[in-house]
Amino acid sequence: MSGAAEAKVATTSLSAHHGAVEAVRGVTMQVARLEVTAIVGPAGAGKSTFLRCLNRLHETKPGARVEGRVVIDGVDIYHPEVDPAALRRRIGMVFDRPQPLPGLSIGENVLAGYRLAGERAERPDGVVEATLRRVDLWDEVKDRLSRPAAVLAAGEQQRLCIARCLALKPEVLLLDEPCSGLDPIATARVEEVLNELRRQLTIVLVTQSLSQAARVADTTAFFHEGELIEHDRTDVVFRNPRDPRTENYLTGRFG
Amino acid sequence: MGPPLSGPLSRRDAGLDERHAARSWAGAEGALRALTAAASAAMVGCVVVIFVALALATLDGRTVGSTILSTTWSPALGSYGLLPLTFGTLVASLLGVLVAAPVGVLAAIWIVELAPPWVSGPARALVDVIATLPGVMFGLWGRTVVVPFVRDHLAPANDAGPSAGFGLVTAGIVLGAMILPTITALACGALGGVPASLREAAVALGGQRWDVIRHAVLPVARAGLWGAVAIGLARALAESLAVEMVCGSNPLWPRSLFAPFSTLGAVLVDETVDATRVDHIAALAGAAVWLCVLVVPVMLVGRRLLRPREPAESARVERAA
Amino acid sequence: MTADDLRYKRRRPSGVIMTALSVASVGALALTIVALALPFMQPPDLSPQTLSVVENALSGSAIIVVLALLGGVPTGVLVGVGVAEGGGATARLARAASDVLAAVPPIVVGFVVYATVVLAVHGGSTAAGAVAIGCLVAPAVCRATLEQLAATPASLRDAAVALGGTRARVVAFVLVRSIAPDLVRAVSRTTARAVGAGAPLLFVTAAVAGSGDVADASRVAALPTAAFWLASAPGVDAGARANTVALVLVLVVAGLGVLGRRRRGPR
Repeated sequence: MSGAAEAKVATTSLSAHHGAVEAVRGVTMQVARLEVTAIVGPAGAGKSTFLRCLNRLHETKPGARVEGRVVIDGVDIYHPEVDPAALRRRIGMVFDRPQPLPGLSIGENVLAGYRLAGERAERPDGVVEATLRRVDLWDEVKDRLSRPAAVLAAGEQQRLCIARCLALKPEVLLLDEPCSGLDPIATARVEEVLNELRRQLTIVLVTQSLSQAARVADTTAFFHEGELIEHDRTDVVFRNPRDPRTENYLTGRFG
Repeated sequence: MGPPLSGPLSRRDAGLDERHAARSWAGAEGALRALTAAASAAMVGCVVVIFVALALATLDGRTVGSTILSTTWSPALGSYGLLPLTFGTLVASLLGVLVAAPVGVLAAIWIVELAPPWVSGPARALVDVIATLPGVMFGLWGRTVVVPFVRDHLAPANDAGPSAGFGLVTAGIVLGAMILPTITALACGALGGVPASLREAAVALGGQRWDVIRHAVLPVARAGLWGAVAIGLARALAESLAVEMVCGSNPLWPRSLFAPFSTLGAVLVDETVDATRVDHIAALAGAAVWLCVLVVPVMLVGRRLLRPREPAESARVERAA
Repeated sequence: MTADDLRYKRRRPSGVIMTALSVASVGALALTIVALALPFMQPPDLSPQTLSVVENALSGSAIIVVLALLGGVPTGVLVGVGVAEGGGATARLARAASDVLAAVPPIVVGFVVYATVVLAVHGGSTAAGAVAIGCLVAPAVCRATLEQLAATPASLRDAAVALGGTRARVVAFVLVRSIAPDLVRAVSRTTARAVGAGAPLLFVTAAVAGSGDVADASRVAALPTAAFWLASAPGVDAGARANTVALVLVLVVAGLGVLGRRRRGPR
């Protein structure tokens, strides 16, 4: 496990509620800088809610409440002086279903973050090309940048959504089951992109797929009923789980 | 896999299916089909009867048909100019819509997007209920509240007299108040139909509140919002009782925005029961037809715009898959 | 990432202006709703004469609307089911007819019913009124049926068919039943509008402005038309009586409207 000094994101006793339901219970966890961290666990384990606390998206839901601390690069992101919108621009997030913004073309979707902030990118064409190359989408779409994003297949849309985050030069990328709606080939291409991006930015990946965690993650965290059960190098978690609940989940005995 | 499906087996299957279909056709299915056919016929019949009756009645008046483009509606003179009535209908409705559309849409944005949930729910319920209140109530309100207000505070002095306060501005205010809840309620529906996941994606990209509304919510809701405005306009154009109560019933060209006027709907209210001459009834039928021509397309377009566009969505998913 | 990167950015003026405009709009909406209550601020006129008008109009409205619902609801549901499940040219025609009928101004329906039924057949005001209101009910119910059948997941239909149901049974016992609660609410909303619809009834119901009794048994009073005639009638007390009738009308319509409120669901 990485030392605390290297941690990009560190949570301390983080709890999150949906109304009366406590979805995340006192999670203390470090996410190492420039690594891929996978979060696995059965449905209802609080994985997505935890992820949504890291960019302060959870609090936008009615009835949501967050306790504890989340520190990124030494800054408490729940400090009253922190602007959630500015924070979210520095932390990209990709959802389980691709959500290209409606009415925008493929190229405009890459720059959607600038448009949302009422800004203009410097050399927009260069940003579009460079960003789409990073998600391996440039060659597929370079001739139809002005077509609506809806014409793309689901897997292409999902990589477009990753590109849209990358265009804002984030330091952290959060992915919430990004491949759950994709076929195996589209999934493989998203994973290739994640492999390209490792060492460039810090990635937190929530996934239902243990094999995906094994393929792409440096460390893996196991969540169960809102609690962090264990978190270690991926091979350690998979080969020698310390907690019986982790072992049961990994071997398919519940979940 | 079991044994391959040979020819005879499939044929036998088909036979079974046909017998099954035939039996159900003779029973409940037949009854259902007969009933739906009868209901469809009744629905189509109603529309046909309405327009055939209007057409027949209108044709009776072809001797005075040449007067419809005149500016005089006077049964006593045998002149039935629809221009002043059309002018009154359009101007009163547009005055109402020009105010109610922006206010209604912005209010809906506040209710759906900006208000805290404990306000948003009850506010939508209240607006929904107000939107079903009948036109006659708005007419009564217009006569007891708006007419005195316009007479005392808005109308210029030279419009004094017994009819002071009755006019286009008054009708515009009454129609605006009537369609404001309608537009707000329908706009709330259009905004509420935008998937929450889309809003969330825009929030996660770092959009401030109005950026999210402008770039994620409005593009999806835009057609529905225009639909809400169109239906508000259609309701204003079609309104008869409320307008009749505040227009002053003057089917000639109004002197000013504060002077008595009339509309196509109001003239039907005022004159139908007293109309005995064939040409007068024909002219009223003509006014009714002309009112349909103005209202029906606006209403149909509004309904079409409000309909959620599911087919396009599923087609896209299929292509993506 | 440093603390300075994350400090509050100034809200852009466009957003501030839009927020101000939308708050002002809600204020205008609230003001309108309050202003609508002004005529009802004075105590209602509860004289025996007024109460007899109310009673007459209430029973007249009830009879007309019940008859209209008896005809309009089955027609609307059946056309909706026929369009959604059957398809074909007849269904498309019926749907177009329903859309057009819903769009025809109520006063035009009233004019046609008066010109055909009342003038040509001489009398039958209750039936004529029910036909006029039925023209409002049937298309509204038809549209509600279509909307809700469209929202029914295709998997439900597939599952019912896969269980071996015939088309008619699937429609009657699975689909219509699954939309029944929503349909009841839609009918309640439609009833609210039907009770308030004065224009279609205007020429087929009696003017009860003067006496409050309905001498001519073939003519029927209704709440919206009674309020309309009273408001237009001469006399000092006519206005107060019109307000009382209108208050009853508003209470009935609002009550039905509340019953027909859409359930707040995840949609």
